[in-house]
Amino acid sequence: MSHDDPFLPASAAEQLAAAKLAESLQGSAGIAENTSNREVDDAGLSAALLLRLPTSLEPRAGVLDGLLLQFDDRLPRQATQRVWWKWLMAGLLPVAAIAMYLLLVRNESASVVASVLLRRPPTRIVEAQQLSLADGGKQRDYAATMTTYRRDYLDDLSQRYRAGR
Amino acid sequence: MIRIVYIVILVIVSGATAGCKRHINADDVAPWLDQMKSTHAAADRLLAENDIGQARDVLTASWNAEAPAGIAVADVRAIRQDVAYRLAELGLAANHPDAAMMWADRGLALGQDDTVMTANLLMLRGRLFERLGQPQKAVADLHAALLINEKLLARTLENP
Repeated sequence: MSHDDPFLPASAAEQLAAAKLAESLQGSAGIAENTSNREVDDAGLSAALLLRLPTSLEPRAGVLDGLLLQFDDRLPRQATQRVWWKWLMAGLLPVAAIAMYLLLVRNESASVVASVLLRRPPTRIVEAQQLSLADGGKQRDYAATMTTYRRDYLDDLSQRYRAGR
Repeated sequence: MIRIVYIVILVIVSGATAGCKRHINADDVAPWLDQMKSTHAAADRLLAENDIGQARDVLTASWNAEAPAGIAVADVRAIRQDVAYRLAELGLAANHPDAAMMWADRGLALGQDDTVMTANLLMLRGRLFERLGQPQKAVADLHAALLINEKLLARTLENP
């Protein structure tokens, strides 16, 4: 006797269909529980949400209600996860696009790409390098360093021109 | 055809004359360089006395001073870029970013070499762009300065 037996009373057919659906949903929930990230099976969740229980299904109503409650409990969490992932992707995609543009199109170095993404131009790196170049890093005042460098540079140039280059 | 030959001869003769002129005027270069050194020393002294306006005038006059014909273009560029850098720094210190940008642009418009002077101007203009909220341009200038410094550093390490 199948559940769509025309001789079966309507309420009994509904009961049988609901029982099969309940078993199916329970199976989906079990699979979902066993997954490492506890993701809810989308198909099972959609089916559970779309399900409308007939009021006549008293014997099985408890099982289905329990299943629905189980899914209802998970719904906010999954909805939160979805929103979180959307925000994450919305944030990551432009960053990844900028990084790819700078690295591949502009052929910039990784440090510059990082600086752009962090909005922190490598001023300190350049300044530190300027200092280390000009005076071996001993002097901290760059203006004073440049005064010395300038004087030496002009002296050297003057001597070279006097010597006929 | 004959006209073209005349033009070619004229160009060659002009080039040769310019070369001779450069050689002859080489003696003018050293005094001019000494004068530039004195100008910078005067500007340093005025800045130490907090006379920023006078220091700016002295440096502007040196920017406008004509260079002797015998000096190499690259040397004139380095010297003028150093003056432009100092004037841009004064603009930055006086909270006049427009003036600072103008001097940085003027200096860099002379060309770019692998010198401390060019790197200074690029770094200063990069900081200006950063202040004006243009990070892409800022990074481009700062990166260009960084590349020059890397070359200078490598050169210094090769020939200490």
